[in-house]
Amino acid sequence: MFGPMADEAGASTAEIDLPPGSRVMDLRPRLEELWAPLRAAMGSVAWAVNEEYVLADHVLEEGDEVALIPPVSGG
Amino acid sequence: MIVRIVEDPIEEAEVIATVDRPEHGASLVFRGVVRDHHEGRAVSHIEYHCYRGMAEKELRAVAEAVAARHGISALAVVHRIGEVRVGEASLLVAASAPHRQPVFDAVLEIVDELKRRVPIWKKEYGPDGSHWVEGVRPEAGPGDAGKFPEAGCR
Repeated sequence: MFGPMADEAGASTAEIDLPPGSRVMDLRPRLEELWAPLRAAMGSVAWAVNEEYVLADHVLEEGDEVALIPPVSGG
Repeated sequence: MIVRIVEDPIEEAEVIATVDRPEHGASLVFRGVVRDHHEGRAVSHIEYHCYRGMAEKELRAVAEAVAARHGISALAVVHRIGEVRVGEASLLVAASAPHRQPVFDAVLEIVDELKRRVPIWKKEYGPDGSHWVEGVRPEAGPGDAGKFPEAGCR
């Protein structure tokens, strides 16, 4: 988790166990449970797995690094 | 092609020199500079944060896609992170080519595209405290790079 989201959650990483075949979207309720303040921001994030943007239906593998990418503002 | 994310002030002259070619008559440099105000608030400095590994990959993908599209081989893109003060450059894009049109197009497209998808965030600081700057939600998928598969070559 990065930028404004990490500030809101007061944390930047978590390890979460999911059943095999889980998708990125299955993480959302688990993260919202863990970090309630993120609920509002969750609608505007993009997701990345192992440093590549993915869609929410992307199937996760053991050991994947998932990142929540809030709206970006580089430049 | 140089694509870098750096913590220290950008070595501008050195980066610009990497796009010099005796056969190129058009050389263009864009400096993104921290300004002293934003949306009515005074700004003293900006703190840039990034998802380092992914930001480097995405920045490279953007640069390679745009370079391939415009046939540009002499290109340098450097983004600074950490604290950047008013008047200092947070971004430097330099390109050269035999003639001007492709360099103007390429430099503009690189800046536009990196603002849309490279995972970098800025937090502004000023007399009224600090706040995150509202950003753009990146689209999932390979973005520009996917439309130009030849851009994957290093």
